[in-house]
Amino acid sequence: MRFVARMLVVFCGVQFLFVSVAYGDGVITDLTADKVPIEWNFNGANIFLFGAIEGDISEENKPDVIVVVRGPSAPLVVRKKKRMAGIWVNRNPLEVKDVPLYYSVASSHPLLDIAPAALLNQLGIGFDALVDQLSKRIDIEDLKGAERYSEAVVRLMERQGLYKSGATGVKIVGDRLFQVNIALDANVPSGAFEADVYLFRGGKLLGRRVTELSIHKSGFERFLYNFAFQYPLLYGVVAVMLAVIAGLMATALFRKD
Amino acid sequence: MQIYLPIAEISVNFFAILAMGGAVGFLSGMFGVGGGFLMTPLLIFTGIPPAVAVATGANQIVASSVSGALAQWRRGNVDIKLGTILLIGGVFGAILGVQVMKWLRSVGQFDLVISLAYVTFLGVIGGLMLAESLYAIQRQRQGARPKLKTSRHNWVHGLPFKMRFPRSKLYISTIPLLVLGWLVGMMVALMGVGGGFVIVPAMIYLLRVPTNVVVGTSLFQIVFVTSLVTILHSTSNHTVDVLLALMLMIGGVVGAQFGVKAGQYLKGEQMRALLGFMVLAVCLRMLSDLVFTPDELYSLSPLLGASK
Repeated sequence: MRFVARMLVVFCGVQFLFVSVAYGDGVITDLTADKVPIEWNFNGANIFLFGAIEGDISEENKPDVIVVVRGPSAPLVVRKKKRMAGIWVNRNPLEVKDVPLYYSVASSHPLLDIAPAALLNQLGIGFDALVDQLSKRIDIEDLKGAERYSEAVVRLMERQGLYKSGATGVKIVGDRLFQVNIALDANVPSGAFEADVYLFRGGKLLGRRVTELSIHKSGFERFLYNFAFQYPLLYGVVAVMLAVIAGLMATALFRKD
Repeated sequence: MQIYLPIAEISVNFFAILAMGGAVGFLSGMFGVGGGFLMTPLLIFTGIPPAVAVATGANQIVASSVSGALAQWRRGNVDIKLGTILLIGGVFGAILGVQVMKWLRSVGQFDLVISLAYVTFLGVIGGLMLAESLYAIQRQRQGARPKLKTSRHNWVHGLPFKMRFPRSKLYISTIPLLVLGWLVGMMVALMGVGGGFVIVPAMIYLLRVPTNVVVGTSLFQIVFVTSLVTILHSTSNHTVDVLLALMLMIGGVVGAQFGVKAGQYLKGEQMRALLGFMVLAVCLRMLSDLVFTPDELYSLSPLLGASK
């Protein structure tokens, strides 16, 4: 029921926009939540992105939607294990700059049915495009090697549930409305996220809309994290005191029995 | 029930962690050992980052050793002078160990070094324990009494810079004491263990400290060194997870109470053989990860020093 109600709200919005602005093809979107708090019992979250397609939706030329969610970026170090004296040791470290710590892509059809690879690459849509982009952010002459490292980044991040791809994650309801589920696992990084909604028709990009999403530690988790990083000495002393109190309390408790 | 750990940055099952703390506490109560050498590997197997497992382990040991240290103190079983010399060595070891961890993490070799350290220590200790206890069991069946070494002196007692320790009735060099304390400090900082399994045999067999003060004095040193390591890891590496430590403490102290009771029904040699088997099992599990070809050759780590 809530879903239908939300769809109606979005749909009414479309009509209003369509009448008042009427600038042709585009999308409008809304998120079920634009702030996700990481609290003590955080175990991942599901966010729905709803949207509506504006403009021409004639039968022979149905539009397609791709939704890419990118998390905050950070440099990462990739290492490859080599066997030395019978033991597997991390070797050959390479720094990859600006790696998105979260990346998910969902679409209404398989990506290559929607747009040509060159355009997807240019827009950074899909894992192949991501590998391509990351390869350029490695400072190394050997292009094949850079590609192997970039592929490893995508593979490892996907294994940790931080990169996700769903070939048909975008559900189009009726003609104009669509919905997509953005799944965030418990290990999702905190920071500023962006949900990019792309509208394609006949292999061409018609419109794009960015919606911001913020994921932050909150409440007790935020307090502890900030405490540990801003007042590390005090944090350490408190950790020791808690341990001493816990140890003494346990002795006192069990002595009574 | 899932709980999100703010420093480890993963979500864990509250009851699973509690049970793990309880199981290690049970074993440590039963066998009279600290249990840190089992706790840290188990935390790593659960998916806690090794650096967080080590630093949080040190924090948890403060709780599990403080009541024992206090009880020994009340009974007058702590040689404070001897403990202080050990502690001075321990302070240097802890400071160095924490910096070594910081450096190893920045070059991406900490996971390897901690695995190697654990495989070595667990292998040696588990092997010795198993061999010794099996030998004792065999001797007992044959009806013979184990022979005890009775000499009071060895090479350690020929070293210079001697000091008198009236409580222990010892007159020995401070060099082996400082080195031993230093080694234990390094182990606390790098492995998240109390180091009792090194310091206790060394005090008994090498330094010839009377057995009635050995446990109290080593606990005295362990409480202070683990406290210092907790603080140093907090300031240098930000790897102490208080929430995780508290869960382990709760499980640990409760488990230890039951372990002590269970231990009374088992014979000493059989208990040591059992513990030896367990230690070797953990050792083999860690060794297999190092030796067998991993299914993923690449690994990712954040660039340390970069802003988050």
